[in-house]
Amino acid sequence: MTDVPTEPANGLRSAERFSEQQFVAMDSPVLSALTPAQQYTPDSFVSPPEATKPVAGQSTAVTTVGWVWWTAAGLAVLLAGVQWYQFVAESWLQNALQGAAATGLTLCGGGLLLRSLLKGWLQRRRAKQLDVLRAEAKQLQSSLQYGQAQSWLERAKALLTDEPAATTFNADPLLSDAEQLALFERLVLQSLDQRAQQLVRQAAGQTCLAVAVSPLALADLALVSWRSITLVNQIGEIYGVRLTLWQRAVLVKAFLQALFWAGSTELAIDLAGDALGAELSSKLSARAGQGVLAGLLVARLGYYAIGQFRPIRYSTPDSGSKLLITDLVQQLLKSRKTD
Amino acid sequence: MDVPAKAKIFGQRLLQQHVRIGITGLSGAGKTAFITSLVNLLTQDAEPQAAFFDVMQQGRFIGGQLQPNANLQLARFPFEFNLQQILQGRWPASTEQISQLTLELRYHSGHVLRRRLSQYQSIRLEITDYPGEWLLDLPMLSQEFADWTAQAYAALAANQHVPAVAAYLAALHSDQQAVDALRTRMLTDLYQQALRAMKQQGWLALQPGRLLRPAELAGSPLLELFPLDPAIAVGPLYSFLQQQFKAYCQQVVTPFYQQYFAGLDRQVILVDCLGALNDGFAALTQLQQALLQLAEQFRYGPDSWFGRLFKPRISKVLFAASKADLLTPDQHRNLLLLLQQMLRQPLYQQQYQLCQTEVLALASVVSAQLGQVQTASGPQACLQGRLQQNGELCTLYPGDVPISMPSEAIFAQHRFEFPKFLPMLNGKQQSSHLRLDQALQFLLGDLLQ
Repeated sequence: MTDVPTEPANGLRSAERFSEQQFVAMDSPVLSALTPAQQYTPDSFVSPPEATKPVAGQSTAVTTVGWVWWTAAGLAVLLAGVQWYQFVAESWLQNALQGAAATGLTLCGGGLLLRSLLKGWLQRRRAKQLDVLRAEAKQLQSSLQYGQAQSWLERAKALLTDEPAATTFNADPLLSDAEQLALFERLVLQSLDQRAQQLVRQAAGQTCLAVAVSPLALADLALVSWRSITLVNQIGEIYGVRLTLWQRAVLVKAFLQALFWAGSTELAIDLAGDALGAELSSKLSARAGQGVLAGLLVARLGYYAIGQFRPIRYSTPDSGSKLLITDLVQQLLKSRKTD
Repeated sequence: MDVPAKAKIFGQRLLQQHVRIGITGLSGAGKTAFITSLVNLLTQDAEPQAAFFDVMQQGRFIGGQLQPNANLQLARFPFEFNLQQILQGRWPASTEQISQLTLELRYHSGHVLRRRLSQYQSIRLEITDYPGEWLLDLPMLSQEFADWTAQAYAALAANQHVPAVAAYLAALHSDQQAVDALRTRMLTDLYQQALRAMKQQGWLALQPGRLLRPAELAGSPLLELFPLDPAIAVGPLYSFLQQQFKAYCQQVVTPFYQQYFAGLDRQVILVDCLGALNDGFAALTQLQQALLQLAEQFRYGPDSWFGRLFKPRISKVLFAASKADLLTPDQHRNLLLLLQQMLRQPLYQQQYQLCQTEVLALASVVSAQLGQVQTASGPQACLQGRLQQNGELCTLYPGDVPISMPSEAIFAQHRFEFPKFLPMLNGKQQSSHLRLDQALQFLLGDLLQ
């Protein structure tokens, strides 16, 4: 064996010997029990340069109408600010107490506004990180490369700081990138999925029951939307993503779109094709049928949200929703028996 | 085997509860270590390192236990002894004779209905180990004596510089046609020594394999088979050897094939590409040739209940590049691609025959630790392990693996020096593996659902 450094005459590096002192062991999974778990705060996170690609379509040409709107909004904010300043100044002139109260109000309001802006910004950044992670995961999964997965795993772990399985997860340095991701999916995401699916089942059952017993159509609507939003929130928490109200609404909208444009056939199969479900629901009253439908809708939304929040896209479509109709109907029947 | 035992196996095979796995590989490919590590993974009570083996990862696996073999005449695979050897940091001795192991696995079914019906499901695995040298006899079944002797003589001619080979050739040429018991015995012994010497030189295509590892046939007249100079295709010695060749194929190779290979359901083909790269261009091309010839000897095709009972076909083949732990992980991909390129033809054939194939770079027993050294050009991945020659701790970068069959010119200017390390234990004083769980998932995952 030679001590000469690599000579890439034919592109192949030769064997090379080193002394024992030079050797630094990689933390192998064997020793993982000894290395302390490391947690990362979101602030310490620095995205790699290639990760912060400008999102296509974000800076699309703003139309003239858009300009007018933005100018109007800006002017309104400016005017409101001026007005508020005048109000505070006048308060001071009138009475020191009133002035102090007005200033206090301004400070509190400003603080709250700043806080919510900051929170929104952080949440937005997390959601963006998730998007980047998902895109990178797709790339890594299809590659035979080695050594790129480490940064991905660390960022995924940073998202899932509340999850003990994630923080203790240690990559096997001997495996390739795609295998590392598969390992992460198996050891960490699968338990999260199970918990999320449990939540979905609960929410679907509750919605189903509530709609079945509630007499008012309007109350149904409110109930379904409230339960959907809280469900999405809960699922997001499991996967370490906290959404703003606005983002949640966007997700529900995207779900409805998906339902209409892509998922409608699936839904039709779910609703009509399941022979057992159809047979069972024919035995139920119309109200109960509506309950089952509403429960199903919530469940579908839940599964959709899981799919959206997972750092790695589902490799196989889940079969969980198939059993759901019978599950829901049985839950309904059980509750009727106990009544 | 008595009739009830046969009927039981028949029934189990019908229900896909009896599976024969063939571990195929030339000598030195790591069959014994593979079987030992596989059985260890399936029978150990400690928490196994098997994240990619669904039945274990989902917590449905109850356990595995060794069972007495159905065929009691056959030696039992010395699993415990081999495992002890590995745990003591030694490689198991190379296989001298055929041996078998039966393993019963119990697991909970993943199907709700099946789980309600019975508490647990079980499946029996039958694994056979044999000297890899014998495997190379299989292509002889489709050969004539004239072809065989020409081929074997060419191998001898290519190794004339080896003293043992030269001695055999000299003895052969001294008196071409005399046939008597003493002379055939002497020539057989000389040829045996020549084969052993060629094996030492890294030559692979050595026939007849039984002469290298005679096991119970040691000294039998069946093994009196050696090649002649193809220039002389007549005479008493020629016709004697022609008969010997026929007898060897009928009485040694055919039963071996019938008993252990005709009934396989799943197959693992272990290939030691790194060893062949170390040995040079000739060894690598011989390895490829041998694998191509071997792949033609097996029946591949999709699984069916009729086939399972009367005409078993191999429905899944795993091509495993063994000893991947002797490389830094970034080279695993190259090893995979090299193996894939070497086996392009059989892989294509098997896909055509609707047989599922998979290629993995694995290590039955990890023998090196991955680490880093700081060099002038930045950090460099490297391996540390105890060398097989002297047991010394050695830190090295093992070198790159070419991603396609290297030409002779590359061997002329580049020396492949992949190390040979002794088995290494992990922090829990157990041996660890690399991708054995993925191999298991591919081989058995569909049966343990």
